[in-house]
Amino acid sequence: MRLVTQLDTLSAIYHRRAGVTHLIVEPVPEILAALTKAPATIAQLIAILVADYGLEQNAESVAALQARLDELEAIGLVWRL
Amino acid sequence: MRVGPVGFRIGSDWCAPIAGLERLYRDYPKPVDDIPHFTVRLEAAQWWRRFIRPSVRIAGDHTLPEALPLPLAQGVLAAEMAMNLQMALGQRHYLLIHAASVERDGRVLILTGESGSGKSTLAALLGEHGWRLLGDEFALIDPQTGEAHPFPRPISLKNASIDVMAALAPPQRFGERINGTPKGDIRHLIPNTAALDGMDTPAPPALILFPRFGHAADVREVMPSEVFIRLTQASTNYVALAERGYTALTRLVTQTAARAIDYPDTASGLKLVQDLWAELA
Repeated sequence: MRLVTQLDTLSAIYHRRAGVTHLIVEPVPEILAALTKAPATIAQLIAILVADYGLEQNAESVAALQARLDELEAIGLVWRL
Repeated sequence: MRVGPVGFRIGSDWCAPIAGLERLYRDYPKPVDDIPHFTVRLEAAQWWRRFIRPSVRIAGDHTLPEALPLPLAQGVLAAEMAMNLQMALGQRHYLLIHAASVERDGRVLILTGESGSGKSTLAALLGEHGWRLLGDEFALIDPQTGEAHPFPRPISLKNASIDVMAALAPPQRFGERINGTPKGDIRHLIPNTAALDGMDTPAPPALILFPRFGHAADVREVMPSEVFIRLTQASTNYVALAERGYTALTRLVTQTAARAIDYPDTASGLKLVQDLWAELA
């Protein structure tokens, strides 16, 4: 469905369905990698990011994660089940 | 005529542009099996414009509806622009990057930048200093192999660079001087024998430079993400190639060193390029 290439602090992502290229910065590649393995709720996703990538668990990170998910949903890279 | 892997057929309402093109392309081969990839036609803007204040409208497989006609005296330039247009709008086999490219020791240097950055002049100079010119307008990246294919059209020299190159190449390698174009005075330089004989020999890219003419000499590192963005902007068909374009471009960016260079004059630019090539390529 997509190709991801790490360039430096930014990664390029090619969205096959849309034919569009995005440049993304952390934690977006980490979010997509986590959701590629299995669907997750926000709470599950935070748990994965805390365990695998050292995300700090607080209200600010939850809000930031929700904002990133909303953006990714808007461009069709994640979707609700 | 054929330029590297691409064959062109040119038609014209007048003889003069064809005579000018026959001079520029006298040593180029014919398209494979005589079948061109693109057709260009130079047409009178209206029928009476064949005779009265003749002006050339670009037609062919791919056109821009807003393109303004050029005076007949600039007919060769119109043909060259039309050939660029066919490539920019119609080329689907290679990833096209608006760049000059030259080869040395089996590897390619790509010079990309906006018009006026000096990439054509640098490529022309390098072509007369032991490098093989691949082209001054488009670098053709093969999505399958990652190699740069030659597209050695006559080099479009502008203004001061005309005299710079006139001191280095014999008169028979130059086309007629075209004065008063939108980019100033233009004179085409026919690539040398090494470039024409090697037009079917691709090579892998080894260094990407973003030159800028008219500034104090400077070299800056360019992060891969910036190279990626600048090359998507410099490509005319990145979007059209879809996933093949993405794969070709990410491979090029992640496997090739890149620098931005500023240079105040052509001599220092030439030295800067040669020093960076020795260090990085």
